[in-house]
This record gives sequence, C-alpha cells and structure tokens, in this order.
Amino acid sequence: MAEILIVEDELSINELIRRNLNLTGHHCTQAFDGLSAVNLLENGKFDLLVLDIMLPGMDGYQVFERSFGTPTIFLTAKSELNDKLKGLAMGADDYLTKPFQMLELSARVEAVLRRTKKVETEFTLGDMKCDFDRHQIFLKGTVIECTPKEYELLEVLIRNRNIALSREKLLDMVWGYDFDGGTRTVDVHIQRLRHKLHLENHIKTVYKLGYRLEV
Amino acid sequence: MKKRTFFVMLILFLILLNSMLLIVSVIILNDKLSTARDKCLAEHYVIATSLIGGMQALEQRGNNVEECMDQLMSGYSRYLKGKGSYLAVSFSGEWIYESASIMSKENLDFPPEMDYRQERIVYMDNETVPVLCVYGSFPAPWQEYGLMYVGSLEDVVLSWRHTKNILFFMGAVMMLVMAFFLFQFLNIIFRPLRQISSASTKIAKGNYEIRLLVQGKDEIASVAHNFNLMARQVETQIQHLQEIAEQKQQFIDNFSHELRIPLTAIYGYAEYIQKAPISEEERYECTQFIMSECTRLQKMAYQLLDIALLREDELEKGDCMVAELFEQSEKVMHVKAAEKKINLSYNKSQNLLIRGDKEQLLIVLNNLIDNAIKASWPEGEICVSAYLEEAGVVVEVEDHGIGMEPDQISHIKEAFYRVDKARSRAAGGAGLGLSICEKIMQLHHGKLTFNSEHGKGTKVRMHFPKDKKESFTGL
Repeated sequence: MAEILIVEDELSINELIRRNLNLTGHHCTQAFDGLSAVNLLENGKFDLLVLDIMLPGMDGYQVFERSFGTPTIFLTAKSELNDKLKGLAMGADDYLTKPFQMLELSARVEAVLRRTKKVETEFTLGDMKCDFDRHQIFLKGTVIECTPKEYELLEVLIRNRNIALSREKLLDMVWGYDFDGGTRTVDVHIQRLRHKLHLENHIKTVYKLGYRLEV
Repeated sequence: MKKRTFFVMLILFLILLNSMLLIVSVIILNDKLSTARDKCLAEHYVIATSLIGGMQALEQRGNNVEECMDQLMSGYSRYLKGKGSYLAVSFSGEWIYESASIMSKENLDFPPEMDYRQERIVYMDNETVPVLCVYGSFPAPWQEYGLMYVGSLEDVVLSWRHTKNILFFMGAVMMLVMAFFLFQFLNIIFRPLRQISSASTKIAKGNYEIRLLVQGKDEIASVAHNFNLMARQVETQIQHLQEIAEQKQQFIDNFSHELRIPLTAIYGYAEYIQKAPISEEERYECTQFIMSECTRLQKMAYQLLDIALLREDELEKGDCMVAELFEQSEKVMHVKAAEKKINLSYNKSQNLLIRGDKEQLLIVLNNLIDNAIKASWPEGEICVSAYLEEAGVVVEVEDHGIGMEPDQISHIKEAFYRVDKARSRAAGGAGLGLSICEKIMQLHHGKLTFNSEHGKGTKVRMHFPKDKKESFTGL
C-alpha cells in the first residue's frame, strides 16, 4: 500500500494507470500538468512518482527536479535512447515507454517500491496472513506448512492481485524459464493453495486466461 | 597539371639553352682555330723566308747547305720550343732535319711534292693535344726543300675548353634560376586553381559555406565567380532539403507520439477489461475510453488523408462570392458560437469575388472561426470580414480571446501542434486543422497570416492573389 502520484496530461492514460495501480492496492493521486504536480509534491508525501515527460507548461524533467527525491518512474512516448539516458542520468529509478502492459507497470512499480523499502511486508486476506520477510503463511494465527514453490506462487498472486495471470506467465515467474514441466504443474499448485488456505472464493479461474487473486 | 607544365617548360628551356651554348662554343672554337692557323701560317712564312735567306748566304759562301742545316735551324728551334712548336725540313722527299722527335712522321705523310704552302691539322697518334701542321716547299731554286711547321694547338684547345666550361656552368646556373622562377610563376598562376580545388573538396565534404575570393577579371576570376554561384546554389538547395527533412522528421515524431497515446489507451483498457475484475460501471468507462480513442484515431487518419490526397487538380475552382461564403458559414457556425454565447458577426457589405473551390474555402473559413471560438472567452466577440488589398482579396477572422505568444505562432501551422494541449485534446482536435487550412490555401496560391497578442486576441487573414485574367475583383 503505497502513496503514488501520477502526473500525465492525457486523461485516458492517467485514468488507466490509476486503475491499474488501484488493483494492486496502491493509493493514487492524479495530476494533469507540471505545476499542479509540483504543488501536490510540496504539500504531501508520496512513495512513488509516475511522471510523464511531455507535459503542458512544465515538462517532466523540471517536475522531477522539484520532487524532493521522491522515487520516480518516467513515463513517455519517446523511446529514444537519449531520453531514457537523460531520465536515468537525472536519477530516475526506472523508465516506462508507452504503450506498456499492465504487468510491466506493476512489476516496475513493485521493483522501485522494494528498492526504496516501501513495499508491504505482510498481506492479510480474511483469516490468511502472509509474511513476506519470513516467507511464512498463517491461517488463523497458525503457520501453514507449504513447499517453497507454493509460497512463491502465492506471493506472485498477492503482488499481482486483481490481475489475471496466465499459466505460462505464472510458470515463468515462479518456476523460471528453464522449467520443463507443463502448465498442469500450475493447476496442481493452485488447487493445493486453494485447499490449504481456504482461498476457493478468492483464487478465481479466469476463462481462457489463467488465475486471479481477487481481493 | 602544374608539374607537367613545369617539366615541359623546363625541358624546352634546357634544350634551347644547351643548343645555343653548343652553337656558341663551336663558333668560338672555329674562330680560335682560324686565328691559330693564321698565326701558324705567318710563322711558317717568316721562318721559311729567313731560312731561304740563310741558305742563300751559305751557298754564296760555298758551304753545303744540307750539312749546315742543323746549325741553321737550331736558332729557330730554340726559339720555337718555348712555344711548343716544332720545325722539320725535307729535301727531295727525305726529312733532313727535325727540331724534336716527338712527332711520329708516319702520321705526317705529306707528299713532299705537295704544293707550296699547304697546311693540315693533324691529331697526333698518341697525344691528346692536337697540332697544326703547315708544310710548304720553298721557291726556286730551292724547290727541293720543304719546311714543315708544327704548331701546338694546346693553348687554343685549353682556352676553348675553359670558355666552354664557363659557358655550360653559367648555363646550369641559369637553369636553376629559371627553374626557381618558373616554379614561383606557376605557383602564382595555379594558386586560384588550387583554391578552387580545395574549396570543392571542402564542399564535397559537406562544408557548404565556402566561397572563393574573386580577383581581377581574367578567366580564372570568372571560373571562381561561377564556382561561387554553384556553391551558393548547392548551399541553398541543401538547406532547403534539410528543412524539408527536418519538417518530415518533426512530422513523423509528432505523428508517432500522437499515435502512441490512443494506442496505449486502447491496449491498456482492453487489457484491463480482460485481466481485472471489473464492475459494470468500470466496464462502461473503460469501453468509453476505448471508443473515444478510436474516434480520435479515425479522425486523425481522415485528416491526414485530406492533407495527403488534396491536389490542385481536384479542386473545383469557380468564382465564389465572399458574401455567399459568409452566409453558408454562418449557418454552421452560429450554433457553435451560440453554445459559448459568442457574438459572431459577418461583414458582408463589400461584395468581393474569389476564384476557388467553395467547399474547400468553407472548410478553411469554418476551421478558423472554430479556432476563434475555442480561443474566445464566453460572451466574446468574433468578427469576420473581407476587404480588398493591393495584392488581392483578404478574408479576416478576428477574435478577442486568449491570443498567442510569438513562438506559438511560429509553430502553429505544424501538424499536431496545439497551442493548448489539454483543452484542444479534450475538444477532440488532433492538431491538424491549420495544416489542412494551410494546404488548401497553398492550392489556391494564397497564404494564411497570423497576427496575435497574448491576452488580447488574434487576427487570422486569408490572403488570395489577384486573378490575373480578370483584373477587377470588386463590383
């Protein structure tokens, strides 16, 4: 749960980013031009700044200079290397080019938050609690025995909650690219998690896509 | 070229100089030889005469001339030896006296019966020094006797050699001097060519500002002048091409940026709908965004097609009355103006005529009025008028809205440029309106000019050229 400021002049894209970040439990504030972004930065504390470079009035770089060191992900339609280098050289934490995918956005946001220690250390859903530091899962206060892969799968689902993840994607993220087993492995592990943690109502099967942890 | 000229001229000079020297030295040699011969002949004569005198005296005293010959000759021999000359006396084809034995007489095979005083130059067999032999038989009654005088030509040859050496040495010095001056001269002659060559190399490397200094009025100067003309032409052409390339690049950059935003939104919302658990309300909002972005793309595509496909030959040019144009525009625009409570007035008092495509001109006019409405404050005023100027008809749209900064005006005709990004996009514009207007005006050989002051308002003028065939445009 992080406080994120989205600065993007295009209403549709600003809204899109807000909705995506809301899914994974972040709280978002929206700004549509440089000046109001700077005002918001002066008056509030944000854990992360998602900043478009091409803004009316004051451009993204200028906003960044007045951001009091808030971790920043630059967002732009420019994909030229120079722009990326400029952003990173100024001290931006990451870079996202339009068009982007949901998972890319959430992964980058998550990575920056983890680096800046703003990432959540535990997650609670009903009776279930997951401790990310100790890699332990609790159900009504008691530790549930599970395999490392089961734990990792649950963590991936929590980190990308409310987003449908395909079996292939889950296989990549949990087991790695070089895993030889088929996607059935994912189904088996999902079944075990649902059963062990009583998450039958939360881990949903999404038609033709995969699984989604709904919160 | 320079090297070739240099060497050809140098070789020509060399040949000329050396042949001159050769001729001169030959003349000098001949001259010296003839002097030496004259001298030898004179000596021979003197000696022969005095010898005859001596012989007569001897005979009168009754002495044997042949026996006394050694005595008789020794005085002369001594005298001549110092000069390197020798004497020999023959009697009836036999040598009876010779002053020195250095001569090998085989070479001097004078026929003793040779006529009186005959001379011949003979080179001795084993000697490098040439000698001149003069032989002559005595007059009667001593015709049996003959005297040979051998004069050395060593002095002559040595002095000629000396003169010749000096001459050729001087020749060589002159050669060097000539080579030096020739080189300098050619350098001066070829300097402009060298400059032209280096300038063209620079131009070839992309340095188009290079110009040559034009001096004098000779052929080289005219070449330099023409070269400069060419360089200027190349420079302007290259600049023109660069501008076009920059405009194209700008257009592509803008276009890809404009394309990315709707694509990002469409893809993003579609993915969101697919992957996130969404409510009915959210579904409506997301699909709404997708649809409006699609509309925007569509609009942009059509407008781009308009710009790209509009050709002059597709225009239906005819005479259009400005008043008629205003009336048609009023029908469409007064609704839009009324939404913002703007007072839109058309000044139709002057009846002017424009040659052009009425539909296209209406697009331009409505676009300009639309922009004026967007720039105006609510309850503002927009005035559309037409008047005649020296250059032709002018249609003017004047508003008292927010106006523009000078640097905004310079960009305003660029495709995808928006003065106010956020508002114009919200209003559904793609930033192509003025690009289309500009294109249409170009096809009418006219132009658009902007006159604006920030905060006070804008005047946009459509300038139409005078119709060349019909000079009158007003009624």
